Amino acid sequence: MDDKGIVNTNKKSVLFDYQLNKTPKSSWSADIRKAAFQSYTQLSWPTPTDEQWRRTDITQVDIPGYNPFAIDGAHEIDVPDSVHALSLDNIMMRDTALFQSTAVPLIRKRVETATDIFEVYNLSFFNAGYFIYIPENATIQNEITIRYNFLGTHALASPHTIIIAGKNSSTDITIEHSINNNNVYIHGLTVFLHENAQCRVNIVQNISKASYFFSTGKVSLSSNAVLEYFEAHTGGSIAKTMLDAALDGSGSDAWLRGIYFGTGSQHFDLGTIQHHNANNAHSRSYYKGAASGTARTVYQGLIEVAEHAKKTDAYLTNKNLILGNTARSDSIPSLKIRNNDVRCSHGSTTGKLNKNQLFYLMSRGLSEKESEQILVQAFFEDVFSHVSGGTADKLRKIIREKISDV
Amino acid sequence: MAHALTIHNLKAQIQDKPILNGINLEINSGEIHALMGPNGSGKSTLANVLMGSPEYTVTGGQITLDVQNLLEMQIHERAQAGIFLAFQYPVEIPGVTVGKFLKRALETKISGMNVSDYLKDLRTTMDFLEMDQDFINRYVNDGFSGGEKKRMEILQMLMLKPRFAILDETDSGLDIDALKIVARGVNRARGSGFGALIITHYQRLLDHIRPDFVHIMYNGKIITSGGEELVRQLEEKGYDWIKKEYNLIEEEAHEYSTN
Ligand SMILES: Nc1ncnc2c1ncn2[C@@H]1O[C@H](COP(=O)(O)OP(=O)(O)OP(=O)(O)O)[C@@H](O)[C@H]1O
Ligand SMILES: [Mg+2]
Repeated sequence: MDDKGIVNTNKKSVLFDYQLNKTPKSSWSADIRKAAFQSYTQLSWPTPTDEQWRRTDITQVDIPGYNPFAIDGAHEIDVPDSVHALSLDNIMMRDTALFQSTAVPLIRKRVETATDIFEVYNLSFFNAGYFIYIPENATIQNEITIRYNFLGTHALASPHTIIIAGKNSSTDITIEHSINNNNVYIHGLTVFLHENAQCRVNIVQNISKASYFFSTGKVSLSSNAVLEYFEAHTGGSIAKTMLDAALDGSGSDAWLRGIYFGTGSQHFDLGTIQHHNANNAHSRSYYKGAASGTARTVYQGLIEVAEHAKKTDAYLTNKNLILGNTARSDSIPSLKIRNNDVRCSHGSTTGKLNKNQLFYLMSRGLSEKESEQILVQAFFEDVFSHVSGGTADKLRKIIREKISDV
Repeated sequence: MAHALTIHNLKAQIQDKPILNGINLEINSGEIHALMGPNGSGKSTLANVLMGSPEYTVTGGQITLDVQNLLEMQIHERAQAGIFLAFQYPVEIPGVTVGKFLKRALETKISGMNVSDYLKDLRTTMDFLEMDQDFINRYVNDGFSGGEKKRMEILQMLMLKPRFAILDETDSGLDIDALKIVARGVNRARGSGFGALIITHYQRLLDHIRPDFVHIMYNGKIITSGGEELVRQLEEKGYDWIKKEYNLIEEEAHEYSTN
């Protein structure tokens, strides 16, 4: 922990546990679990006949067969000293008033509106998680890092991360997902940005290659809030995600960026929604992926603009790099626009490594393998320029190693 | 130590189109050879085939570096053996910085390279070529001006210290000052352990880098070789003179009629 560089204009520092020792009552979690479980019983696990799951067949993964009570692990959170972070375990044990008044309504709403079985499963069986609350006007200069590090055998990890960024606050949060063996990992993410909040959320998913990763994220942006979301997927046998960024306040701004690199027989299917529900909001998605071996990647990006969301400015870009002849990438952008006063568009490209660049690097003495390594890493560099140096370096290393094991 | 790069009756084609029709050329350490010839005569093809470009198919002949058969070596092995090509059109590689790229390239030649020595060498070489140090952190050739790209090629040549360098029109697109800087770079490399093949269309570069031998290529063949005087004659009289001198016009007409 390190408190250097914290400029905190709010006396109450950053958090939520100042009423910790009040009457313990964890009825919220029981209520939520119950309601979520109710929805869960009414939904069924997806099959390729569901439009969203056409390209990702998980019928051979018996998710309820993985034990959510057999999961172990040591999770940690790095936060500046003045930030008292709390895990959901703790909150469940000893309710906090702040959590009750801020996070619980958001989760309740998610349960009520959820239509995705992974979302409700996560909410009924969450077995870890963190709640981060950044108070009004606080600028957290040090990166906050959550490291989920699960261990199990044929077990199911189901963490939920809740981030609430107060008015005019500014913060940078990284969530790292890791799990061993052959397990299932279902993440739930709920983010709420108050007016004018600036929040970066970085997801680094590098779970074991024999495990399955699912994630459903919902972000709501109030007026003039700025979200910079980044996700990197390099792990897992199958990874299927959906991030729904709702631009609920006018003038809000969402940047969704992602990279994914599938090797061997990995399968990634990432989804984003730029959900424009207010005037003058701006959003960009920029996803870049590479695939080698018999890997398959899918990116499904949707821009959805409500009738009253005038002067929307939204764009989505997807670029794919195919290494070899047996990998496959699909890019599926779509637009649902319900008014005329918008600027919305999308673009995607799929290509192979540039032969002239390979020749150039090799002509300077670099082997073919190393030249490929350098070019794959280079392909992702423009996305890395938007994440912290530490995270970028970690990902560069993962990518280099993945290329060597192709 | 003296080395020899020997090209014997080299034939190469792209797709089904023959471009090199039997090239013979020997370059020894310490020698600077100039290669001239009209557009499309095959100069860049020769340069790329020497480096091992997969775009071309060698259909005959040999290339040897001392006792090594270059044609059996991969591109990077040729580079490590001491062949260097300064490209006519250096490719841009966004995402790869000059500093890291050159470091890796050097490490393939020098095991256990000292990084601070490398940086020092890089900085002084950049000074020598009057290049801004900011280029170290820029992406390779990305957004460089034409002249900056050419200078970057010479920087790499000086850093990598090849045995034989092929410079493919490194002078084109350079202003007069840049031309002198590039020439200065080549002259610095010049010496008993270095040989070069300088492909150019203009005498002005050869005024600064005085060649030991001059060759004229036409239709994929070296049709004549000589000394510096050949450059002057060519500048005065143009390629028509060469064509007449070697009866190439009729041959060309003949080729047309049989098509
Ligand atoms: N990819 C290609 N497909 C077809 N023809 C090609 C290809 N690359 C080169 N050629 C042809 O090969 C011939 C030789 O080209 P080359 O680039 O070697 O000429 P050059 O002597 O370097 O010319 P310049 O002085 O204009 O640089 C030309 O006729 C050119 O059009
Ligand atoms: Mg040429």
